[in-house]
Amino acid sequence: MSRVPCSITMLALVLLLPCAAQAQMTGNVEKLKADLYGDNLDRAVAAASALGSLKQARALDALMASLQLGTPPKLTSAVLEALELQKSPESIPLLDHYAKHRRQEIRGGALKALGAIESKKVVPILLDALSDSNPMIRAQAARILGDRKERIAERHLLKMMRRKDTSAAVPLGTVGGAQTALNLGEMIGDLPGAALASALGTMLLRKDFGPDPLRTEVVKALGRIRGKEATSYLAEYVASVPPHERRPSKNWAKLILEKRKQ
Amino acid sequence: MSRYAWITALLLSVCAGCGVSAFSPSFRDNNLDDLNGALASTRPPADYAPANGAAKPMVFMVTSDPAAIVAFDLEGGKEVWRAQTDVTSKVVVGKRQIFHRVGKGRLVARALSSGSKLWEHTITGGDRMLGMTTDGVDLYYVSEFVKRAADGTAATLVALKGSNGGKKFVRKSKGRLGAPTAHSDRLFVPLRSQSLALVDTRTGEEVARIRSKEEMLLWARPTPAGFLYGGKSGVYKLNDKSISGSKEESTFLAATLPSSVRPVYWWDGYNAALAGYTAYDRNRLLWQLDSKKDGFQDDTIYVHNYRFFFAFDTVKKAADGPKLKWVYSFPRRDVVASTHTGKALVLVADNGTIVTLDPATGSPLKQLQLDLKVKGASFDAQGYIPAAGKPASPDLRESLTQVIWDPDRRFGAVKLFAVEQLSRLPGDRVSADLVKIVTREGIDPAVYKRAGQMIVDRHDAKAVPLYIETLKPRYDFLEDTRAMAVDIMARALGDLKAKQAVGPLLAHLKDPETPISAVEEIVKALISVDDKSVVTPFRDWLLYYRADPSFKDASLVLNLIADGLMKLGGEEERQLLRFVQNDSQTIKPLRTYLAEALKRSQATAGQEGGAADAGKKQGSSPAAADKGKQAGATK
Repeated sequence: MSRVPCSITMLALVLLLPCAAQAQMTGNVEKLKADLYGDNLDRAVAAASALGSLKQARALDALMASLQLGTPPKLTSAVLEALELQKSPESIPLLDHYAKHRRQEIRGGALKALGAIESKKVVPILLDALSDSNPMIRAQAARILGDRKERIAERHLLKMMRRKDTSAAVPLGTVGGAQTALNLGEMIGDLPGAALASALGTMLLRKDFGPDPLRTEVVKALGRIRGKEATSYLAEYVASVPPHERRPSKNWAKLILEKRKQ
Repeated sequence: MSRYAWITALLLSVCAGCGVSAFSPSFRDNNLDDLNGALASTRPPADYAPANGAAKPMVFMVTSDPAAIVAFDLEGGKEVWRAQTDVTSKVVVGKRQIFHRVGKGRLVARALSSGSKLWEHTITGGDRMLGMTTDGVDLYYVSEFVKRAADGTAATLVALKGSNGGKKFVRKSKGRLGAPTAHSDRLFVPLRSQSLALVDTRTGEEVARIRSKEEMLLWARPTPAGFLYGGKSGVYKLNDKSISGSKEESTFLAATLPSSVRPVYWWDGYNAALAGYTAYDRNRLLWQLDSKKDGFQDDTIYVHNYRFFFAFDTVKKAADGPKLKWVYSFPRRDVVASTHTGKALVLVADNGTIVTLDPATGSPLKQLQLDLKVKGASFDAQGYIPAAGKPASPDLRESLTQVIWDPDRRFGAVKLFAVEQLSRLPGDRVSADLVKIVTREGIDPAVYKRAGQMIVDRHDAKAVPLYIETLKPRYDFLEDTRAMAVDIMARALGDLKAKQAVGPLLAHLKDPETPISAVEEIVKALISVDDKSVVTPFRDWLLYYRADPSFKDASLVLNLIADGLMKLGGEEERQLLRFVQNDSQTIKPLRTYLAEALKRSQATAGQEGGAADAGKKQGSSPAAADKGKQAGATK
């Protein structure tokens, strides 16, 4: 990119941001709305950001209305970021539409905004996104579901792994249970070792994962995976267990690590 | 010798050269007396029968790895002999011998009964051989100079005694000669492109000449229906009408064939490559003439295209081309040689399989598997038909689908033809077959397009549930599914105005995986179905993408949606369109289109009563944009 357009953009932002900030500070939603709907795209983007941080119903309405009317992609992305800050369940139906937008970056923005909303209604939309053709969208949806600890996603994430999309590994480790651990153990040799190690290692490090016989199985499965990822997960696990705590799984992990040192 | 004797001898030799020597440019052509004289002592074959002395139907297969000739008795179903040799020409079959070329310039005669070599001859009179023939006993060949010889000779006809390979006669020609054909005591030799010389096999003298005023004459063929000759356009019967030199006044026959078929009636005698086995043997027409009337036998002509055989009716026509009678496809391998014996079609595949087909139905009568690598084959099997009961006629629909599903990508044109033929067949299953084609992963795009067009053209209302079912799969990474033929289903359903298709089509409209070209077809279909329930999804789609610069080059879909809203929507949609047109964020091509479209629509509305005056004023003012925004904001 040339320096001149960059400089112009920077100058525009320097000039526009104070206006938006001022309007925000004064809570002048009407002024920000005018900018959001105006002809100046940079001003509209700045207004969207400012409206995002205003916890007012009018701000949310303005943002949603702009999406309903349709905006250039750059502004759409800014509005989606603003809605992410708003975290309003009211925006779910609209964000659902945008989660199926033809532009990948807009689908991604919509998913992020949905991920921030504490409502079970967003889960089916996020699960749908695991079927997206774009690996980045799938990875994003998987990450959000993992972060939200949506146990319902376990089966979908496992399918993703089976379809060799390894971006599901850590999220699956986050939400996966005993059956998933066994399933992952059976995939050793079929999937990249690093991905399987991530999934199993993440499970092993979870406080809620157990009981210890299951942890021992996971440790043994990690022992069957070659590579530094499996080793470092085993080491991390050994370190995470308090020294005084006696766990067969810990002993197994130590044993494997010693063998690997040799 | 006296001085006068020398002069007399010289004059005599000059006169002979001017007037009567074979292939002379001054030899009179298209003369009825010459022709009648030439044919007086020679009759065409009385019936379909093998030429070999034992009268057994035989096929001589030339193989590679190892290079050999395999003589096979079709009736007995057994190999007669096998001779290791590297054959470089077609095998010519006589009464007691067969002849073939070895290398570039040696001809070999072998005993027909054992394959043992009888004699060898080095080709003379030219640089390359154009073809050879036998009258049953002796061998005749034509060779030509690539560059004319010093004495002006362009080509030479050489006759060899079958018994020992000794020269019988040699005739030089200053004009080009083609591959000869012998029958009884006559030789038919293509001459100077447009003529056919009839030569006496005993003396080597030319006895008659036919010249076409319209086309090149490339070949001759003796059959029970008469002596036949021709070029690329069809078949002439050699009779007293031949002296006209025109198709119209001669007994001329040509079959109507699909435009994709290359009409090779017989081998081009001027093409030296065709002295051997080539791809021409795999892509040509098979036919016999009816000996009782002027027409093709059984009113049928057969197209051999590599592994496929199509039989066309030469009399009955379909709506837009020849009527297809049957189709046969040999599985997976190419058929390297074929013949019409007069009673059956015999095919030899490159894996050594010999198949005999019933010419009336295309059903296999007999199949023999020899496990050979066959390069080419020559038949001496006239009249052959295996003694077998008549099997049931294969279903044409199934035969055509076999052609279409052939995995070999070389046969795109054949598959397109098969798709067209399939679509012409009646019956419910044809639509299902066509849908199967367009939903096949990795189908040839040309076949996809043609089959799609055929689906639309069929207007098959009974197939609506099938088309809707076809729309069900969508892209799903986890389930490993994808939508197929959405554009075609949309076109077909739109054409049938199928209301029940609205839901499935809208689902694909919203799906980001739907290609934009398919979205266009969906929108057209939904407009055609004329269902008001599409107005809201259309509004959403237009608004979501109206400001997206990626549609600058693909604004047709937005224009179509705008048209749909104008057609199916009310005043509210018009107001929305005015807003979209006036809003500076809308991409320019859409704004331009809407300006024109709204103007046209208003003009039409004005003509129809002018009730939209208020709206017109509103639409042209900047305030309309604000109103539109308010309308959108309160949505």
